[in-house]
Amino acid sequence: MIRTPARPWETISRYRRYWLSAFIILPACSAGLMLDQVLADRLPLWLEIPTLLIFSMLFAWISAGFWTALVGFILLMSGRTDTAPGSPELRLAEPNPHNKVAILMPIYNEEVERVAAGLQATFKSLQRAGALAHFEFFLLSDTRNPDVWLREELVWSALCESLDAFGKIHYRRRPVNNKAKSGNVADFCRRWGRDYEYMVVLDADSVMNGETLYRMLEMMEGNPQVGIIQTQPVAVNRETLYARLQQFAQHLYGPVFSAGLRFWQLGDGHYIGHNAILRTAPFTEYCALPVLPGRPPLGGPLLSHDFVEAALMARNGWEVWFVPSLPGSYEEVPPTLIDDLKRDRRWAQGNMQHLRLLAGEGLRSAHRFLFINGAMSFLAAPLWGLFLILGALGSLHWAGGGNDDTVTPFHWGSSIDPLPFWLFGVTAVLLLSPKWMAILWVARQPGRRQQFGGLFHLILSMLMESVFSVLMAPIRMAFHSQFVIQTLSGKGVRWGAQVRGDQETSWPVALRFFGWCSALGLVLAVALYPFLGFWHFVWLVPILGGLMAAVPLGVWTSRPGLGRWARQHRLFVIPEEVLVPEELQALDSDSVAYLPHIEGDAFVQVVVDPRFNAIHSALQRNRTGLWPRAASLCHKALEEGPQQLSNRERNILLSDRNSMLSLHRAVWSMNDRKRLTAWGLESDDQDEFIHEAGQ
Amino acid sequence: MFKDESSYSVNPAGEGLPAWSAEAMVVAHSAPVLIRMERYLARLALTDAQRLWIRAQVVTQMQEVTADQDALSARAFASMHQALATLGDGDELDARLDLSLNIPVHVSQDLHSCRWLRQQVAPAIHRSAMASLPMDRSWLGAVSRLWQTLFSRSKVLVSRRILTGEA
Repeated sequence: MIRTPARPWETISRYRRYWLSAFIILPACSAGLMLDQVLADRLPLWLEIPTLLIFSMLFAWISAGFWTALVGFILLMSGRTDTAPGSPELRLAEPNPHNKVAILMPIYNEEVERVAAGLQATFKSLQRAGALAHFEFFLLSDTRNPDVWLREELVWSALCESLDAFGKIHYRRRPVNNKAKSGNVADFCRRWGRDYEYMVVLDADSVMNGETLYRMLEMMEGNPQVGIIQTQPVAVNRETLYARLQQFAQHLYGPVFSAGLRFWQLGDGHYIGHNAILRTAPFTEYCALPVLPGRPPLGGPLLSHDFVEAALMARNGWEVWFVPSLPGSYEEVPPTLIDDLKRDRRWAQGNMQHLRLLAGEGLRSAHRFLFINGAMSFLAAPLWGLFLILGALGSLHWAGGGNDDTVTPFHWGSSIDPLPFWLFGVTAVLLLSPKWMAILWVARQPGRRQQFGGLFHLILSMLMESVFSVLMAPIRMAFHSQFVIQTLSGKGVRWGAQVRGDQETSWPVALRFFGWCSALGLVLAVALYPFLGFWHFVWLVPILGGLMAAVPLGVWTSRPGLGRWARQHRLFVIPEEVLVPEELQALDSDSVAYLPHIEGDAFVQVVVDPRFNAIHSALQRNRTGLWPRAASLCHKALEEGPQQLSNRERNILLSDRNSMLSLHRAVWSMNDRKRLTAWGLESDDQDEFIHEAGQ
Repeated sequence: MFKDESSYSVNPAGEGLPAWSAEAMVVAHSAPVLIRMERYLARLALTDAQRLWIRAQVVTQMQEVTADQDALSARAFASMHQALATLGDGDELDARLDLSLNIPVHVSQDLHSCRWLRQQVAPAIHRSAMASLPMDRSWLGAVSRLWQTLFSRSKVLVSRRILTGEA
């Protein structure tokens, strides 16, 4: 093996991470010791030690976020982007004309029109940038629903026709969708990876600016040691109040945290699975995911692939850079709290699986830290819950000692130690100061505050967002704790399509989903109040209040009407709403109005309609192995009607060209009125016959 | 590519055609079948002349059939597909594709539309292997590696190999 000196950024990053570790560990230990001074004489050891341990862990966890934000804030305020030696931004190169980039859009039972609009917007943006020659698009479908599959095919052909993009936009549907999205991308690499130097992976709701894509290509060309460049996608386009809160928070606080994250990571960055460019050859060679021994949820295929792929890339010597300064990268957030929590359920399982890779040979320490960080995003919830329980037990113990008489918020008895209040204050600063840092940064930039609706509305939005965050935190805690417990107890999660439209949560659905949370909050409030007394109970009000309000919060925040009202009143405004980028304008539903619209049952239409049938049949091959089964299914479809076929049976027929052509001919050659009606033909025949006879 | 009416000397009015009365009998006898055929053709982007030519072909074929209604429908549909195929100079599926998609002229002249569409939907496959590499995930192994790094004389150098394209 040829060896070369260490990369220049590695030394810098090592020192930075030492500092970060010190900043996390030392204050956490100090805070733990301070709390110990308070608890030492007041609580028994069995209560004191776990309280201290959990407190220190949680303190370390939130201080990591604080220091990241602080560093990002300093960098942004000083007007510098972090360009350590070796940063890909420093070395751009004209792309080799022979090098091609595949833009992959893995989809799974998605809303086809939205996917088409996003793809079309990116395509046109590349066209405007004059960079289309380097790029080709691949719609990689894992769709199992035959109706959606057929719509995808027709939309693909219509898109190609309208954009004159035959040969530039490709479509592939995997017959077997093992390993979900990562398997879909791997399938591309196995089939066509050799022909494409790079690939850009998008989500079904991603949109990217053409110039940004070209800049990413230039970075890859100029930095042959780089394996992945990840952009920071910004959340856009949603209308529900919940999604607007998320969008606003991400736009306001995101840059501060991203700049900080980049500062610590440098070439050991993360990959979030979309809106990133990857070097195909090393990805194919090194990034096939291991299957963990044992059964899901902790064993089996990895549910969250992206962090692991970045770790595997770095393990084999390739650099992974997070470049938050790249603009024009967009995504959409889940529209409601329920959808967000459903996504979290999958992520919780995936991140817990990552802990099994922690001791993996050759992984870089930065990526081990990312695994821990990811898992902590979910483990923090049960830890916080446990800390609250221990705190409540401690309060009971304390109140039981008859020490509560003189305590009010305004008059602390002389026996009350102010230290816990200091710790509470420090914790609040760690949690809330990044929000003010972000406000300061925005306020400092000329014109930027107007993009958030003006300074007054910006601050008001931030305060309201903080209130919502405080109220939703206990709900998340309850759910994340449930997810962790479910995962550890062996209950896995199935791969499901994400909800991408603005769908309102109804009261019955909210009651079914959040009812137990509200009930838990109510029961705890009734049970704890008599034991804790008023002033100890006051401390629990934000938590119990949030839990009790879970049902109405779930419903109200899901309302697009409230979101639109907030926007009209300049609340939670984001820059992309004030100055709408061209790519996002192109997402307008009118932009895809020309796409073929299938009325009713898509399977019936594809059998009956000569155009749809021709397009679909042309894309299939003859699967001779299926013919005996397909023949009996054709017979069943003709005798009993298409409605009697299950999705699985329809998929068998649809995947065989001969069956589709035979069905088409047979249906149009039938005379039985009842059967023709089942295929939607008879009534029209009759109408026309009567009409002609009349004439 | 589709031929226009001049290529086929289509006579939309149908005047002066031989056996005109026989055709009229067929039309009268199998009106529902022909109506359905018209509906089928209406879904394809045919010119009036092309549509009438196909209709004429079907009617001519049906004159030779004396069968029940089921066989009549099947025969009519088969004749229509045959006429479509003739019109498209190839397979009826290619003809329907040509009429459904705006396929470039040179393509439909040189290649079957069906094959061309399959080439567009997915480029030629050049397979590569992609399999996960072995990784020791044991904690014992991790501790022993850490020990080696910290205390062994043969410490791992802070260096890396040259990557493809870097040399």
